[in-house]
Amino acid sequence: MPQRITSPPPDHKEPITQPDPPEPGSLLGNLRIRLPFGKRLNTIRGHLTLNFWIGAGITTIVFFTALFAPLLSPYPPREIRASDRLQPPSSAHPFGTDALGRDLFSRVVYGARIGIAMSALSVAISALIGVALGFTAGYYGGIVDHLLSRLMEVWLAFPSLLLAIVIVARLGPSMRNTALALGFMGVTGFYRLTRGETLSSQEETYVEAAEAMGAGDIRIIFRYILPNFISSLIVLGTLRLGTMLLAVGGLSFIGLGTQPPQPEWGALLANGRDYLNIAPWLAIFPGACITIAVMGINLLGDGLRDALNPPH
Amino acid sequence: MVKQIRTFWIIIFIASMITGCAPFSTQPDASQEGGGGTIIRAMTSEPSQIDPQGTPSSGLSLVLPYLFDTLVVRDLDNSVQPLLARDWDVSEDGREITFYLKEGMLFHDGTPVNAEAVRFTFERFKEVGKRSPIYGGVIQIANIKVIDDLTVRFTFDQPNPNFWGTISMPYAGIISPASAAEAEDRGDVQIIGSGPFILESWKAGQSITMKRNPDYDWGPPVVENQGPPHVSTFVYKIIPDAATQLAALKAGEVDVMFINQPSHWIELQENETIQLKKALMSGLIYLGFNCQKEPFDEVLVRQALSHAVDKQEIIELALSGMGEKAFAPLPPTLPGFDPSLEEYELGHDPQKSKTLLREAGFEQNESGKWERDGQLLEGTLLTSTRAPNGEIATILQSHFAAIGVEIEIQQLESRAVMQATGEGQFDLLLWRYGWSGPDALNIFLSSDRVGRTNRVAYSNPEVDSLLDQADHELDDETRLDLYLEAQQIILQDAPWQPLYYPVSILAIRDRVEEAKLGHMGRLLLNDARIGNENTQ
Repeated sequence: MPQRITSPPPDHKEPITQPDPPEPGSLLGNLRIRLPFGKRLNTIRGHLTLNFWIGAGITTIVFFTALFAPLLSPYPPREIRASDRLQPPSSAHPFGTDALGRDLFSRVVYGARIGIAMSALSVAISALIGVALGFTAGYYGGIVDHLLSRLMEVWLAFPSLLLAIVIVARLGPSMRNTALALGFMGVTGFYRLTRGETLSSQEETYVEAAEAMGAGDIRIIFRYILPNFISSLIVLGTLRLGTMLLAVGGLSFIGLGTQPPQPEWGALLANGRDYLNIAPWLAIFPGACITIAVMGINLLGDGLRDALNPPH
Repeated sequence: MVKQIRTFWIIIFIASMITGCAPFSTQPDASQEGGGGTIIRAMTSEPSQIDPQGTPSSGLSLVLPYLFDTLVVRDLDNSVQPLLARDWDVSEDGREITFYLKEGMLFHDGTPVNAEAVRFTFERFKEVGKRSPIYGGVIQIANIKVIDDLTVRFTFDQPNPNFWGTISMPYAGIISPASAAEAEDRGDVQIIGSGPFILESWKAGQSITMKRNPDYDWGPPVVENQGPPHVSTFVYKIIPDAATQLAALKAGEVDVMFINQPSHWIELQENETIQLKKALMSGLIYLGFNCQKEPFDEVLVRQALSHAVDKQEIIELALSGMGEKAFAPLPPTLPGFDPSLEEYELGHDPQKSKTLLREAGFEQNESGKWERDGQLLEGTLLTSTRAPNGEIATILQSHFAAIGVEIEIQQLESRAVMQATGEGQFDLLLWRYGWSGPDALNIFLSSDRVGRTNRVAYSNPEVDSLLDQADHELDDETRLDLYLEAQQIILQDAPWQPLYYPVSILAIRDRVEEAKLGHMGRLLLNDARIGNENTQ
């Protein structure tokens, strides 16, 4: 029963009595419970800036839209209506219609779903691979660490979006391949964070104590090392989500993301660009959505960082 | 006090802005008698070299007709008209064609245009022109003989009626042998011709400037002015982005641009200072079926899916009218097109689609999808990322969905699409061809081209034999009958559902007068003059 014996170091941010929380759902649960009832209530409140609340608000709206897209969209997003071609915004079509008479509002709403799903998937891929490799390198060290770190340096040397373009061009553009390519590109960030934190935690006495108690590697990693920097991981994941949303839009914009008629925001923007002079709403609304959503997620990420990792 | 002084300066500033913006004079130069002036045309991508026999590109084909002359040209009605050749004879057996050149013609380097130059041009072509689209036509020339200074004879192993298509293409421009030798010595990329304009300067990535050829007096009868062009300078400005080109056109920085986006076409229709010239192109956009892959190897399935397509909707929605509804594999601009083929068209008829699918043994399941032996009828529609393919594919997808067939769209880069079709890795294909003669059918649908240009892997021995006969038939009437019969069978077999014939639209500012569109939508500048801008 190592939990009872080991005690957290005094400046430790997260109480390590938390049971292993591997999926994001329970992480957020952890956060929510700790904020109002935890001991450190006042300190954390003090760090919840206005930016955090704006970011959280926008992100909630985006996620809500993505989740309830079928309920929110007034028309099927793929329905072609010859008679409603290139209509400007009106009460019937809040964002207007495109050249095929499809309702842009419905398409933008469904676009949130595609954008969030693809960027969340790519962040999940990055995090999964990055954290696993980071633990391996940081915990076992030696030749493994050496090889993995060199590999990551090579990986990092490539401009990530460019490499993603190459991968998608090779595999063929599709939602899955784009999310995969972007996911691989994000691995280095998670790797470096995990490796660094693992290395520094390993020297802590509570890890030594756990080892002395005979705890296995997996147990040490997930019980004693991971909780130390789970908050940093959440921050990194949130910030990456914004970056990925932008990257997914960028790849779709150049035709390497979703395939038509998928209403991804970047693809909508690319399509709207052709009609910029006669139907500006086709570019304005998807463009504004990308900007606002990415800004919101980044504000949330920054706010979380300030709240969870206050500068000493 | 300070405030008053500031107000004073503000008033002065505003006044000067207003007067400064007022039009103080109209265009100063241009419209003197005898012509003069400059026409500027936008170009999307520049050629890599100026050599008619070099690597083909859209930039090259835009530049060639002004710098080089061909032996003959085609008029809008497809008739063959003289250019460098004043006349020609075809032997009884069709295996010898003798050209008689006009007298006194000079290349831009001062050397004469003679029979030797013609012979040199095609001999060189066989060596260096392997990548040219007309290479296949050029290598069929068995021998070229210089009879006298102005007479040259081409001999063929077999009668070759498509030869006229080959030699009227701009790639078949006659080149100065001296310039080719010089270019080879210097490792240069600029070959000299005898066209109505002379290359003056080429600033890589910016512009290609040509000036009037003052000695020109051998213009073709397709234009009124056979002498030197009226305008003194013709410039291609290289602007890669179509939206930027449009802005430049509207700002008056560019006089002519090629329109390929429906939105630009809609926008310019309301602009009174710009003329829009529309010409039907020799090509076709079609929906193809992989004739070697189940279940699309069955005629009934192909016919059923063809009947699902509403071409009119595609033209209205995806093209905003920038195309003409197609019903035959050959476009109206080519010999071999026959209006009677419209009867054979597999028109929009979703009910018939369903009947045909039932006939093919498919059953509609409870969700409305078609099934046979547990296999769903579905597939992937492959096309390139080129606009407006995405929109056309989306509309086709909705047409198929309407009869209960689920189609996924895959858009790849053009080269990747061609690779996939070469390997037979697709179900349905949205693709196009452009060609100068009815032998397009031989190239794109005969079975010896499967895996290459016959992208849909269509193979029908009867059609093969008809096309082969037509390829060597000299009597025009018999030849066209053979092509007609082949097309009737092709339409029944439905390897292609012809969607629309592309149109080429040139937007020209009003100050350019008398600019005409020639064969294949080419801009003819021999008669063009610069007038005053009507408005502004």
